[in-house]
Parts: sequence; C-alpha cells; structure tokens
Amino acid sequence: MAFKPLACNGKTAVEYLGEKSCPVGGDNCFSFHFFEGARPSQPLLALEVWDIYPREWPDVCCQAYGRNLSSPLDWAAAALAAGAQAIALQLKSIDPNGLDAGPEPALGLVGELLDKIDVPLIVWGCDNAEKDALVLSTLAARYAGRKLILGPVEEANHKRLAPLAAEYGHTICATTPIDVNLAKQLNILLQNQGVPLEKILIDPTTGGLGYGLEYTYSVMERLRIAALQQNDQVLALPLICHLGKEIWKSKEARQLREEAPEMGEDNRGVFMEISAGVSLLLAGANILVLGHPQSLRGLRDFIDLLFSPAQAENELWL
Amino acid sequence: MKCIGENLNVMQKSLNQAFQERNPGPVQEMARQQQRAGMAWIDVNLGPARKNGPELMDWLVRTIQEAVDLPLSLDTSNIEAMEAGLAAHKGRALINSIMARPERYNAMLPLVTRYDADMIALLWGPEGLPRDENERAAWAVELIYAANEMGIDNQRIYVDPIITPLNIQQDQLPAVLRFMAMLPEIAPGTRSVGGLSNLSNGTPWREPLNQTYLAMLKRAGMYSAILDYKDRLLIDIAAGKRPDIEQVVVAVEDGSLTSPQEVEENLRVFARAARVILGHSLYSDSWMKLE
Repeated sequence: MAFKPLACNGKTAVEYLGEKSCPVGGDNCFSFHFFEGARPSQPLLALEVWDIYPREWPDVCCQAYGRNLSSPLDWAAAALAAGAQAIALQLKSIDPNGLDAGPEPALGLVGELLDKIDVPLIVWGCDNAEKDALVLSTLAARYAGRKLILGPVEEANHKRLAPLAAEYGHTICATTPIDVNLAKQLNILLQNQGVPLEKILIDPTTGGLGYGLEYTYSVMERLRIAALQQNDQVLALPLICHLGKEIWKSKEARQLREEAPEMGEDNRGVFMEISAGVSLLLAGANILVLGHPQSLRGLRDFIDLLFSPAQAENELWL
Repeated sequence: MKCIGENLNVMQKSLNQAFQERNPGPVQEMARQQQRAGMAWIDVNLGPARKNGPELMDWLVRTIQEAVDLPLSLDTSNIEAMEAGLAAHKGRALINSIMARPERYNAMLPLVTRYDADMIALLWGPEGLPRDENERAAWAVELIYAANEMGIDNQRIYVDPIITPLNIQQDQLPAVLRFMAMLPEIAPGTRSVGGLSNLSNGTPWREPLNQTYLAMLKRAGMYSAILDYKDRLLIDIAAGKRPDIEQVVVAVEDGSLTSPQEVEENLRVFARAARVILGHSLYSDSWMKLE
C-alpha cells in the first residue's frame, strides 16, 4: 500500500534558547516524518528543579537523584548530569496559597543558576496570573539580556509581562487552556505587545496520561496542521509541554505497591511519563519538561532512535 | 431564501418581562417589526419553559397572531407547551424542533399530524452534536423515515443540520455545507433550515460571519434560516440583493480568490470571513485584522 505524502508548505520558526543559543523548531514536516521533510533540531528535554524542598513530590522522584534535594543548585547539577538539556525552575515558593514569598528569593536563585548552568533556563511561576506577573516581570528586568524562558504567560497577565520580556530579550511560554483558537489569539496579543514571534513558545497546556492527554494531542496536531499546511505564521512556533507535573500529581503515578498492589511496581510513573512523552513528541512537541530523570533517559533513547533512520529500521520495522 | 426571525426570545430581558406580565405591547410591536423586515415566520422561543409553559405559549401565539398575519415557529423543549401553542395557532405552524432521538421523536411526531404542522428535523442525535456530514446523514435518514412512517411528507420536513460556533467547532461549518450537497439525494423534497447566529456566538465579528455563511448556505441550497431580523444586510443577502458579496464568497469557495487583498476594500471582510469559515485559516478573535 502506498501512502500519500502530507504536503506541507509551511515551516516552524527556529528559536534560539538561552545564552548558548540552543536551537529548537524549524520543522517543515509533521513530527518524525523524515520521509517528507526535515526536522533540523532534536526535541529538547528539560528536567524540573524546585526552588523549595520538594515535600509534595513523590518519593520515587526524590530518590531518583540519590541525594538530598534541598539545594536547587545541587539538584540542577544532578539534573544536568542525568542528561537534561534545559532546567525548568519551578517557583513553588511564590504561590499565594503556599509560602507566598516575594520575588527576592527567586531573584537570588535565578542569578545563581544562570551563573552555574550553561543550558537554557526555564522559569515557571505558580499558575497564579497576578503573582506570576509580579515575580516574572521582576526577573525579566533584573536579568536583562540573559535570555530566560518565562512562563506561564496567559491572556490574563500578558500585558504586564510581555512588554518587559520583549524589551529585555527573554522568551515567553504562551499558555492557553487546550484550545487552538485561543492559542492563536494569545500569540497575536503578544505580538501586539511587541513580542517578536521568535520569542514565543506555544504551551498548549498538557493533560496528564488518563487526564486529558488526548485533548492536548489533538490540539497540538491541529496547531501543526495550521503551521505546516496552512502556513499560519502566528502558529508556526515551537511547542513546549509541561508534562512532568501532570504525571506526578496523579494518583496512579504516586500510589505505592503496598497500598495498591494491583497497580504494579512503584516506578510505574516513569513509564507513564515516557509513554505520555512519546505521544506528545509524536504530536509535535519541541520541548518536554519532565520530572523523573529516568523518564528523560527513556525519551532520549526514543528520540535518538527515530533520528537515526538506519538504526530505527533495524530495531523497529524488521 | 426564506427568513425566520429569531428575536422573540425568552432570553431577551425586556421581552421576558412582557412575557411574565402578559403585556402584549412589546410582543406585538416586535412581531410587526419582524413582518415589516420580511420574515416569513416568527420564531417564538420559550426555551425549556418549566413554569406555566403551556399557558404562556398559548397566550404568546394568540397575542402575536392578533398583530400579524404570519405563521410561527414554535420553539420550546417543553412538549406540553408545544402542544398548547399548536392548538392556539392559526394556519400551519412550524415545530422547532424534533431531535433525532427516539424518545423525543416518538413523543413529538404525533403532534405534527394531529395539528397539521410542519416540523424542523434537528440532527441532534442520541450522542449529541453530529461530528461530520455522514453522521448528519445517518440521523436525517432515521428521523425522516420515522416521520414518513407517521404519514408526514418530506415537504413538511425542514432539516436542520445544526450550525455550531466557529470558535469551538470550526471544522463543522464546511461539514454542514457538504451535508447540504447530500440532502437532496438522501431525502428528496425535504426543505432545510439553520440557526445562523450560533455560528458567530462568542466572537466579536457577529455580523460579517453571519452574512458570509448565509451566502454559502444559500448557494448550498438551504431553504430557510433562523436569523436576526435587525441585520439589514443579512436580510438583503437572503433576498439575493447583494450579488457582489455572493460573488466574493463563491470565489473563495472555488479557490479563485485566495487573498482578501484582491477585492475592493468594502468586500474584504467577506473574503476573510469565508476563508476562516471554510477552514483555510485557523480562527482567532483577532484574525480579521491579520489578513
């Protein structure tokens, strides 16, 4: 049976992240359709690092690093040693429903991280639009020119954050709630605030495995169709998926064997994270933010395999 | 294309008050305006009408038909209220609507014959909204067959393929057009109708979207539409008085017009709307400004 190629006339923008200008995007075909086009940069795999001791994190993740995670700097070093190509700092401390810290501790920590690591630094707020606007805009101004990746930036807070991010050369994660039309709209609004498209990553919002992953998948698919087949410039941007936090907050990933023997081994969350990650990569994700370092290794192997056609032919198709 | 005025609606605050107070003035005034604007039916929309539904519908039908000599489209999901309206109605009423769900059509089809009414066959199936033109076709066949079995002729049936909001279900709008092309073969002699305004619900571009899609539906052979009688341009398009707009829409549909810039400035809005309705461009609230 012959397959009809999926004709594409569009191409996603190549964006350069961090101070070392790490490229993402530039695809002119659907994900891994190497027989139809090119995907010049491999997907980037990032690991979470929290700014506070990860008390809410499951033990299976904490133990994976084999060390105490009370120092974000040590944690970041361990994440890099585990193969992370970017660090995704989670500003848990600023959550108004938690410690409600001001911007100062985050300012200090981001500065130290920037000095210590040479991979892109994603700085993720607490999903409270107002608080994130305050803290992320302070960071944007303080670290002018240091090429942070700031998120989540939503319609609700983009007017406060976007002009500063644009002025100081940072990249924005444009977050919308699993909706193609709203994703396009937010990118237009960001452009209106002076953000160049090549400084925007699309965050379609990730549903966890069993918690709406399929909605995210189909929205991502439609975003790629718009970019590649309808040549929609506003959407021809790399996609970032914040997968780790969705996987590791689910009961199915956290339950221990002794509480729920029918669920199998305690590390099943890793397999959930890998299988969900594979789905998102197939849907076109350019950046995955993961929790467990073992998931990162599994997904790295998968990506390496698909990026080396000869090997893939041997291992997958024979 | 025939027009059914949508505005006599329980959702309209001022009218709702008149409904509750049984005050004929505002109701009759709007009915006369709709007649002057050229509506062929007036839709009387009570929604679920849980409280005093039958008595309210009876009063509304009598009150409106005292003022205007037009048939009414009776729009309520309350079957008792529907029956009360049919009993009070002079001439042939239009039942809006009967869904393609057995428990609904088994209860409602007898009203069509008992009161010698016409009916809207709403292609809302057992699982809700149809997902493409084929599901629409399957449900149309089921519902029309059941109606025919009851002795209802095809010409009394107005098939409503369900127009969904552009900002939620963009791909359903071309699906409705494809279904319209199938309908004459599936059910020869049936008429068709669509609730147009739903298309633009929640968007800041209501009028141009409604106007453009109406031109497409007209071309696709839709017999009538439920619409906003206050939109003069829309009524003119339905009446075939704006061939210039229809030409632009046809050109986009046929692929001979790909850039809105190729037409005069006052017509560009229709080219843009046509592109987004047909899915050539992904909808966003700001898309009008982009192309």
